[in-house]
Amino acid sequence: MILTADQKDAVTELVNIAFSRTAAALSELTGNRVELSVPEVSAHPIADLLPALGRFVHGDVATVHQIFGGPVSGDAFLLLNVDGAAKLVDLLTDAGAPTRQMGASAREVLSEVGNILLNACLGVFGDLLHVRFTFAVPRLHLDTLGSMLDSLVIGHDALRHSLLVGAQFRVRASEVTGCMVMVLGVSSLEQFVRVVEEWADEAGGQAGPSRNGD
Amino acid sequence: MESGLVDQLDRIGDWGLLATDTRLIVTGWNLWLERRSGLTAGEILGRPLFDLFPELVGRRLDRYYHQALAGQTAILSQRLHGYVLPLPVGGAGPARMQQAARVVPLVEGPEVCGTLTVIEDVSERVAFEDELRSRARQQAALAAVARRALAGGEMADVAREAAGHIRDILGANFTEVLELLSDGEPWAAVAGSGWTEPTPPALDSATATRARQRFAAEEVQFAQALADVLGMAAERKRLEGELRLRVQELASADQRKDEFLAMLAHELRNPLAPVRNALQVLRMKCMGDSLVERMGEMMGRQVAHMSRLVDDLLDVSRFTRGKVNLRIERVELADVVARAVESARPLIDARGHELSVSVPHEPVHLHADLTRVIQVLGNLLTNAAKYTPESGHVWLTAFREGDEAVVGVRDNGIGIPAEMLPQVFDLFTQVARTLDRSQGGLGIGLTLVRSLVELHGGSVHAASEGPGRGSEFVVRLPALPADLPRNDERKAVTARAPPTISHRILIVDDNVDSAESLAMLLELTGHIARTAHDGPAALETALAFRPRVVLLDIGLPRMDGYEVARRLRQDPAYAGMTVIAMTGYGQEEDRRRSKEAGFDRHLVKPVDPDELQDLLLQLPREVELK
Repeated sequence: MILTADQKDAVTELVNIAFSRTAAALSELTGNRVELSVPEVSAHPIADLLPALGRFVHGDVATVHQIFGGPVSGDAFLLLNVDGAAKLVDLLTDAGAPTRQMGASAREVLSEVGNILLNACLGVFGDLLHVRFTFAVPRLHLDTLGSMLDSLVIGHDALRHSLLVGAQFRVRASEVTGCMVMVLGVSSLEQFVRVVEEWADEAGGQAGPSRNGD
Repeated sequence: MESGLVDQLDRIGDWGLLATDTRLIVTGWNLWLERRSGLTAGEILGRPLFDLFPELVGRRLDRYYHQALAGQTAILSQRLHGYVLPLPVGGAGPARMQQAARVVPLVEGPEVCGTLTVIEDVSERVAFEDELRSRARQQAALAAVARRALAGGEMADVAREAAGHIRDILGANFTEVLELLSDGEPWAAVAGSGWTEPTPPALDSATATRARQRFAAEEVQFAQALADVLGMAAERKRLEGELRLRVQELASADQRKDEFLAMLAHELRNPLAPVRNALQVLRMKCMGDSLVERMGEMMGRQVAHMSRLVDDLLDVSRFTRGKVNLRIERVELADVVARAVESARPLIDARGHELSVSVPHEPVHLHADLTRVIQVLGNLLTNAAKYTPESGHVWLTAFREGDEAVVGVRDNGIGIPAEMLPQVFDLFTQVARTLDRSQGGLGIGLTLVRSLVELHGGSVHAASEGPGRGSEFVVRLPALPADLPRNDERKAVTARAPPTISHRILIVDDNVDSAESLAMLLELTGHIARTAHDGPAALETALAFRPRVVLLDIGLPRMDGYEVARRLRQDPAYAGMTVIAMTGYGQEEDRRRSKEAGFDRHLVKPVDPDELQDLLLQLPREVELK
């Protein structure tokens, strides 16, 4: 499934709402000015996801994984390079001496950040689709990218598709880039993209309810 | 339902469990929370959460509960929140428990029916991580200070950086930490190097105890490690300073030695002049007396030898002070060889050596200082003669090789041990020998040879197969291209004709023997001579005697030679007089000064009588003086 330029724009616009809420929450939480932007958006079948992810992450990755259920079910992920994750945590918490290792404290912070981001995204999507998602507690994994993807495929049918959204954090003049991935059944994803397009068209003329959020 | 769940979860893990219903009324409070808070379930259950813990609202954590009621999980990391419920550490004491928590919705089917807060005590972990971070910062600080010290930074800068780190890491200022260290030495060294931090006030024991309690053992270690680094840096600076001083001292000592050598050589020359002159007088006076002749010859040789030694010494000192100028002209190799052989011939013959000389048929020309090149080859021949037992053999071969003139001097003498070969050209080196001391020298000759050869842009090498196997020295000098016209300038050796002119000559020298002996010599050769021994006497005598020629020593007491010359020149009565400078200084600079002062000529002491005679012969006839 290939997204058209218009569809990409529409998804970007929608994700931006979620990201600005996330950035606001993180800014308030950490006392640092946090900015989040969407460098790019694309859609891929699961089998093709690995190379696509290579633009954002590689090697050892930190993943916050949120399983969601409800009328539409799937998986949502925030992926960062382990180095980038450690750096992000340092930037957010004014750690002082930057550590290469992700200690327990750092992992907790990353889980919280991922949780905030994924909840914001799923919240915005849910509002748009008039769907109430149910969430499990998000889990943090530190793994190689390959292993992470393998676990994705196990136990699901191969017809799943993913929406890949770049996520660039900017804190105190430093940048950390990762990505958000949402995995759904292909028809669900098609439906999702269509709805987003409609919303974007509508919002072009007037302010839609989801725009302002709660 | 909730309390049942709480009880179940309670059995699984060591955590605080707080459950509420959808109105955020507390429905579950586990044993863990009872123990940590000192509040029993009875006191807590059934009451609104935010009444029990109004802080949650003040800190805006209430939104997580509302989120949970909307179905969203919240993760509260210790780093970003610190804690959820205010609980003391260890049940007592002021410190607060550090917590990581989750606020999750409790669900019954599709509906949310309440919230559950799971609290973990991570105080120990936090303390551990803080210590780790602190250690890392300490290490980085130590590394930074050590690096600055190693890079040779100024002590004040290094100490300032150290104090900065102490302030940042231990939260202490310099004076507090200073008191901590048992030996104040490292810091004292810093204070002595210009660092302007005020001396710490005397700390009484009460303050001291308080300070000691504030710092943990590993913090003291850190401060001590910093102090050690500073101590080493200060020591290094001190050593560097000492080293610099020593180097300076050595340089001055070296310079003084050079100046001494120069002065020594100079002073040694002075007595030689009168002795030479007197010798000449004696030989002329007693011509025909064979005993006097023989003695005269012997004395002449010894004086000549001593002269050469002193000249060598003077040369060496000039070389080390960089004061040698070469008079470069076009010279012919065979000519140089001939003259060098001539100068070494007496010694070679005296020791009964056989000398083989080979020069190229085609002339080989060089741009060189004639005297110096002769000196080089002469030195090598003399050495060969000296260091070969009597009735030995010396070979000299000269030829062109490409664009170089090559001269090799070989002998079958005592040779040079392999370990000494690299040092033969060094000053004062001499191969141990058993030769008669009368052949001895100062160990300067080869050094001069190398210096002179290198000044000409050439090279010299020594070779020997070992003791008793002879030696060979090869000199290479840049040669002029071969296709130049034949040089047939050969100075004819003219016999000394007796002087046919007689001049009135005034000799001014504060060395009485020197003046008188020269005067005697000149009178013997037909001139009329008078002497004076200082400036005013010279002027007086000049007035009375009206000399045609004044031989004027520069280094006179009371009034120096330049001044005398100026005064003589000022008087128009002396217009036709020739004033000749006699001095130990023969550099370009000195000759220029003489000319400026009004001297017609400049002779270097000891004055060669033949040179002087030639000069006198060249003067125009006696002019009628007013």
